[in-house]
Amino acid sequence: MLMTQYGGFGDGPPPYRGIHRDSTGPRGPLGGHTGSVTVLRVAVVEDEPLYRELLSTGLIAHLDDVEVIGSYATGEELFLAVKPSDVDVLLTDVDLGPGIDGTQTGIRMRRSNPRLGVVLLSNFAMPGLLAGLPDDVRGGWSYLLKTSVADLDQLGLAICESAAGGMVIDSALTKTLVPQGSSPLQVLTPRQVDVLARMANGWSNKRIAEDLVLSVRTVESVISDVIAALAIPRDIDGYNARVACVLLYLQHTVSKSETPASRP
Amino acid sequence: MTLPPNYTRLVLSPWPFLLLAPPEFFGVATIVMRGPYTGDFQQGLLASTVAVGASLVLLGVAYPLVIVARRRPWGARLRTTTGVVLVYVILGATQALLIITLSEGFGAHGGSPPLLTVIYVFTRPINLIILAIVVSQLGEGFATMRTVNGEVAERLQLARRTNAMLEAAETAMREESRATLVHQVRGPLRELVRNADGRTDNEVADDLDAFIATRLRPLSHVLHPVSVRLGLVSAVRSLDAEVLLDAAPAIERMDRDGVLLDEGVRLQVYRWIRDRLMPDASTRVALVMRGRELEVSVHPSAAGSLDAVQVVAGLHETGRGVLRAPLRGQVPSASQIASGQVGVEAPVPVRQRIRDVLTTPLPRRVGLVALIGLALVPNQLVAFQFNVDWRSILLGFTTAGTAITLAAIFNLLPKPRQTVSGAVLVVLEWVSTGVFPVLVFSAAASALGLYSTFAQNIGLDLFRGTYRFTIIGLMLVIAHGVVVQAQRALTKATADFEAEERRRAEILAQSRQLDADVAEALHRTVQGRLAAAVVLMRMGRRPEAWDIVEDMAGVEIPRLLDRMGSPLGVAPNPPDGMRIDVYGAEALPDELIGDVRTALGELAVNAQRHGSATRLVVRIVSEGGVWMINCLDNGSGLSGPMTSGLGSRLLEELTARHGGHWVMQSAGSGCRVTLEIPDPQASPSPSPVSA
Repeated sequence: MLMTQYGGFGDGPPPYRGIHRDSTGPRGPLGGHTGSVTVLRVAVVEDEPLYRELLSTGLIAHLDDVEVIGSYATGEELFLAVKPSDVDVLLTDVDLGPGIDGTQTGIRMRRSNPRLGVVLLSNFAMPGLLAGLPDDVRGGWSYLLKTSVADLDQLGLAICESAAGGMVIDSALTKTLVPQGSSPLQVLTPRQVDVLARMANGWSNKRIAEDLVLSVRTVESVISDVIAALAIPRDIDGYNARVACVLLYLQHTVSKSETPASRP
Repeated sequence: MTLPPNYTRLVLSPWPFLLLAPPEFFGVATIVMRGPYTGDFQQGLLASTVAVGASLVLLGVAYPLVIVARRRPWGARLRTTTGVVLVYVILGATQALLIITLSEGFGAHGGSPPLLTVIYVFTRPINLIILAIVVSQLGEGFATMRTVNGEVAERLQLARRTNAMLEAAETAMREESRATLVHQVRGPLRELVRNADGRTDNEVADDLDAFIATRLRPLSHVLHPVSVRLGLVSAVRSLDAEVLLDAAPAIERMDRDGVLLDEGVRLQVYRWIRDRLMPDASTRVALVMRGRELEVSVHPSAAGSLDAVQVVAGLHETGRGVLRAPLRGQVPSASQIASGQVGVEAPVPVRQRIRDVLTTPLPRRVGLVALIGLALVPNQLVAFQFNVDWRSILLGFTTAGTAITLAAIFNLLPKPRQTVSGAVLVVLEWVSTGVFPVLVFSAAASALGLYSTFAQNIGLDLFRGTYRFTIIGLMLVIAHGVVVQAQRALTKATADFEAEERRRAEILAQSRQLDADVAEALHRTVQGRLAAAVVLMRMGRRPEAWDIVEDMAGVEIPRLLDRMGSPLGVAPNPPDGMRIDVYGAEALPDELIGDVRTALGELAVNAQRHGSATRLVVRIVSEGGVWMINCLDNGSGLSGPMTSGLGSRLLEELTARHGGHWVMQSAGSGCRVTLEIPDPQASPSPSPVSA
């Protein structure tokens, strides 16, 4: 049901996938989702056994409307065991050791199943990865730090949003992201950057408004300004405009606290 | 780099003609002097000058013409062996005729019997050809020597330097990594564990989270840039907020797909960029394709130079902040490897070389050539001096027989190789081969009444004889010896070179292995499990989380440090055809590892060289504060006391440096060496322990 209006991918960013985006509050399994929902089928790929176990049985199992259909140590294992069309969301570690990495696994699987959502987990603060994805698989990717998955709210949001074509970037990461020296983001006001960062977290307008102590109407207008300022094409609908903004944001920010320590 | 081991190869050279000129000169002189018709000394010298001089003038005119003809298309036949033989035959025979005719004008033979003319015209080209073979041998031998001493030695030296630099760089990198691990990981984690008591689950989770974010995660860019695995562009972008990276979409795509650079090269390029970034400066990094290389420019750029690992990866700088790196699949060439200062083997002393060359035994084929040469010369001895009667024929055969017999006997005599006595013996035998037949000849001629003036002529005879036999014989020996020694040197140098190549591959493999180990242990095991601990902690499952943390702090990280502590391990690189097994090396203190490795390497080489051992088993145990390093080989055991060799001095020094000593004893079929070194961690000033 979630995917019924899905259109298919062309050259541009993915079209709106059918979730009606409103401002009634955060959606997601823990976000007070009402009405009939389809259970999302999640495949987990993680090479560290302990963490894999924790993810699939300790965490995701606690989410409503989400079902783990299998957990695997490598991308290769996943491809052998699962048909891409049987998976709604792929939850994968980025660095899987030797062999195909998590990003490549996601890209490959997504090309077989264009409706697939991908949640990348990593120890590394490199959400910029998502901005570098090939055009035909953009959108529907989230990026969380491995230490953040205890925040079930965010994990659930990431799974749900990815399945719907949206993006959720770990809030622990967006807190550290700053615009690069010279970038299109320079035209934005600090307020606009704040809103943009929360858009990257996958938050609804209402939640952004609550967080920044603003009215929903103001947030909506700030978002329109951001879309206009970043010259996002008008012919894509609101939801995809958000994704396009987030991608631009990821492309032109770096994690300030993650600069390498100098060698001893 | 192979030699043509062809001892019968013919070259066209003026040298055989010139080498034959002196004996001919004195030959004509003696004949005219002692001939039955003149006997005048000045007349003799004049005859020689005219006859031999004219033959040289003929050579001077004809030889350049032949050389020119060989270069023309129609002269192609002259370049073949048959052509060369033809030149020697025609030119040599013409010279012979000229010499005979002209010396005849001075009354040398009194009527020049046709048989003598035929013999001379026939034997002279053969002499020339034999000399030509000797000359070509010498030429080849020296050319090979030059190759070995030049090109091969240079490549070998280069390979050794590269390896030494690599090892140094590798060791430095490991030490650096180890220090980073100790100070940035082990220390803070221990601190965290100590402070955990009394803190709430969420506080500890926050601490762990902070530890991962501020300690472990930054190390992903420093210690082992795992992030580089995911692409150079993304890794560089996440280096610093002030980095602006310019790259064509095609380059980014290739990088993302892993087809831009080889993994090792990518890592080195990343390290190079990271080391060139200026603190607090906005930096522009550009990636551009240049032929088969990727050009990376960093602006502004900090100063720095490439380290050995980067050089070996094929990186080179074309200016400050401008780097070229080979694209995937482009192997760096040896010429790109820079030079450094590393000790080189001392060259073999000249005296030793002379001994080696002279005592190289002649193969039978070469001996045969020598015999043919010797057999031909007496014909001339006979032909020029007397009319053909039974006495002169007897004389000729006696002389030839003596020479051949002597040469054959001497060739068969065993000669000590590579020794002064052997070299002296070789020279003596060729001098004897030259002198004795002449003495026999002179004595016999006197006895037969053919010599009226023995005392007057013996000097010239000796010169001619020694010249033909001794000089040419020795030339043959030297030519052959040079070739053989050069080949041996070449084989050894090539083997050494290959060994260095293998060594380089080994160092790089070890380096990659360590990188992989560190990546595995630190970034996946430690960081991955600590992430799990954070999550568990936040879920209120503290005991489980704490198990993980303590396991990391107490087991995983110390284990990782252990692995990095002994960069190359205790086991040395075994010599070819030998296996070394070391047991119990794990506990050996760091400060002993280097010296013990050197000592074991020396023992292995000695065991192989002196005992033909193929295996060395080393057991390392600690007994009462003393490290006992027991080494047992499967060689032939002790043949005598090993007291003064370089090997034993080295062992002495290596053990004494740590206040220890070593003992050696025969152990049945092999040899047992025990190094006893007091544990440096047990007492600060150890005293040697008796055996």
